[in-house]
Amino acid sequence: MTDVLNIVEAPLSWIILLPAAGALLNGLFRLKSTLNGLLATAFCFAAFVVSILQFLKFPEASKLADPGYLWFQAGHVKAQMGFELTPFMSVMLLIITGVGTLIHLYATSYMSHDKSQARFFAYLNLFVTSMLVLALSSDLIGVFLGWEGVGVCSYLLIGFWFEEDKNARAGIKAFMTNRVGDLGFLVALFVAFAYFGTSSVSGIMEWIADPGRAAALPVWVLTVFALAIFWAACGKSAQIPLYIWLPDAMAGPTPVSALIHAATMVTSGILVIVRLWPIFATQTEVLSVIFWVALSTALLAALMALTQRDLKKVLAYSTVSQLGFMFAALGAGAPTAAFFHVVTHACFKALLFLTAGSVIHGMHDEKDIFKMGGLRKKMPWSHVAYLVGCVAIAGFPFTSGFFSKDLILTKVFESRGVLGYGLLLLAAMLTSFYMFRSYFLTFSSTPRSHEAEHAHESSAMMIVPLMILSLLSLFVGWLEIPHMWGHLQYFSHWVESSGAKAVEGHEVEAATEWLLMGIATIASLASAFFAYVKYKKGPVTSSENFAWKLSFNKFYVDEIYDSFILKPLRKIGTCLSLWIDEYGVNGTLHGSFASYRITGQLASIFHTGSVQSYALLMLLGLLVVWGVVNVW
Amino acid sequence: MIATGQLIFSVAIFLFCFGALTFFTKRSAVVALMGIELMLNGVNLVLVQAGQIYKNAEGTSLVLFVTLVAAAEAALALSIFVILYRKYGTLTLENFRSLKG
Repeated sequence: MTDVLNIVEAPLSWIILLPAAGALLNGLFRLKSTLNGLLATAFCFAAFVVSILQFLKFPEASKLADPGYLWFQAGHVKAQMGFELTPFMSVMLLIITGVGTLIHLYATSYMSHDKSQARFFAYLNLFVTSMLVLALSSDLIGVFLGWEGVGVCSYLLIGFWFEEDKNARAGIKAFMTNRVGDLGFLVALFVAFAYFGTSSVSGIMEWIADPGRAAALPVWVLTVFALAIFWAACGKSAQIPLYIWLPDAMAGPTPVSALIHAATMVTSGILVIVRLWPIFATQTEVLSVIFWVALSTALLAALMALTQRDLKKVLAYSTVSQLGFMFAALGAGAPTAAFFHVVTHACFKALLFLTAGSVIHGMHDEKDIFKMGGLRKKMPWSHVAYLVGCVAIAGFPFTSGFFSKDLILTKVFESRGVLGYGLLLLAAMLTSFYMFRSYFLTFSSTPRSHEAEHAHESSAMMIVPLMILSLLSLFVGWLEIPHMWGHLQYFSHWVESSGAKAVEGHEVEAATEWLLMGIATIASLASAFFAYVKYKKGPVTSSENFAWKLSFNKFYVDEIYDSFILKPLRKIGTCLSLWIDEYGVNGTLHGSFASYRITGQLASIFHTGSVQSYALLMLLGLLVVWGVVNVW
Repeated sequence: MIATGQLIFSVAIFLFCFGALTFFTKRSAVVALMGIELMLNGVNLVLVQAGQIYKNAEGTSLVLFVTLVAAAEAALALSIFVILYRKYGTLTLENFRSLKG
């Protein structure tokens, strides 16, 4: 244990222990006013500082590791509780703790009027802890622990205001859907134990790197492993068919939506795939599956986002769609592009969510964008922040979204051809359109409700994180500029030194790359302009045709799931509970004690309580005994 | 001519059966107790007569002990009756059925 607690020897454990301590303290002590929030922020910030110190050790070191300790062993199944940090994860580490700190700070002000702040911040710190375990564990079992941990925290935080039935239901839905995905992770773990004999990430990588051992495996093993991991990733990272929980997860407080359901947890599927990339790189069929699933998710979610009236729902569907982009990049064999989009998306989506929270706060919990309008003058800072977020997510030139989305589109064009590129470009256009729709409806024109007329700007403690995130959203993209602009690809050098090399494809020429960039830019600017023309005066309600209804009702996917999966399951459950439990188990028990009762009742006929009848029976008994002895 | 021994046995059996009948049928606890005493005396008679037949003092001496124990038993039973009467105001046996199953 001394190794674990020594900050010089085992800094990675400290990164995890600091927020864990915050969670414990917040869970135990309820402090006055906003002290709970500040305490949580302080612990998260401390983890951020330690993370920066680790980050600075790269690129001299190629990998940092805490050996940790043996957690448990059963036969040849060993679970090592150790941590390791690769250069690519160190970037994620900064996102988790850095963006996490900003969101904690924001939440301190956002939640200052809530009566159970201590509980909220305990959950929030626990979430950061779990996410760090997920990112840092050197063993897949440790990753799974973090994986489940973030699931639990997400459930707790979505249902944070559980007094309302709707929120509690959303929490359960998220948890159950994630469980369906977790099944895939378990299958992958079993495969790892059965065929690789180890669950440590580096152990599996060694196995794959050794051509002799890899060839000895049955062919299907790696395919099943990759598909199982992808299925798990579908659950956490909200891809078809398991994306349904994410839009409902907006029932939680807004800082939660920003931290969990935009910046960190939902990207964990991508993180795991990137960590295990050498396996995926050999499975071209699995990559195809990933690509087409991701493409449909990106398109479908973008279509759903077009008509939503709830500001947070728009952002939720946009998150699902952006996750589709990231998976599309994975499917195109470009983990760097996917991970780059994870990083930029974490910045601008956290920004958008926090700004939405600020707007909703200022609007006294009104979320309907049709009732907003004209907030530009009432909330100038939030307005600037939201505009920056929109510009970045739409991919306007020189913002972070421009670089990352462009990289993805180029990679998709390289490996999947024109059809995949065209469909993904369509999704990008829709992104730009629905984001600017929400922007114009919220901020331009004139107020459309009493709340909008009396909206007020949020406190400085909420605005400061917004401004920092705005700067990040604008400039993070410069870490990886396109090839023809110069040789400043810090990010890919950083990531590829961790072993996540792209699948070899034919590189497009510079002229083609210029062309693709031009097309994407024009597409996004045009959609934004179209949104401006259509929504500058306020909501358009005349176009409630069939397509509109389909989009507004989310293609009835929830209803379809309900009638084709949930209802039959519930029926089976009812039947089982009736036949097996009620008639089978309960019946046996009831029957056996009924037989005792009947025997007892028969016997109690003779227990009249009258002394004389007892004496009579005694006499009769004696006579019987006498008769038996003497007559026989 | 009935022998004296047979007569005495007949009286004993009559006493026993009469006592049993009394005990089974009478509603008053005191009368039921008297029935028990009658049964006891019937048995005593048998013991004494059997001692006479076998020229043996054991039967007669056993009867002395039984009389003693019966006296104690009667005293106990009567004191229980007193308590029961104080508590319930009656000695009718039908009223005492708390042992009913």
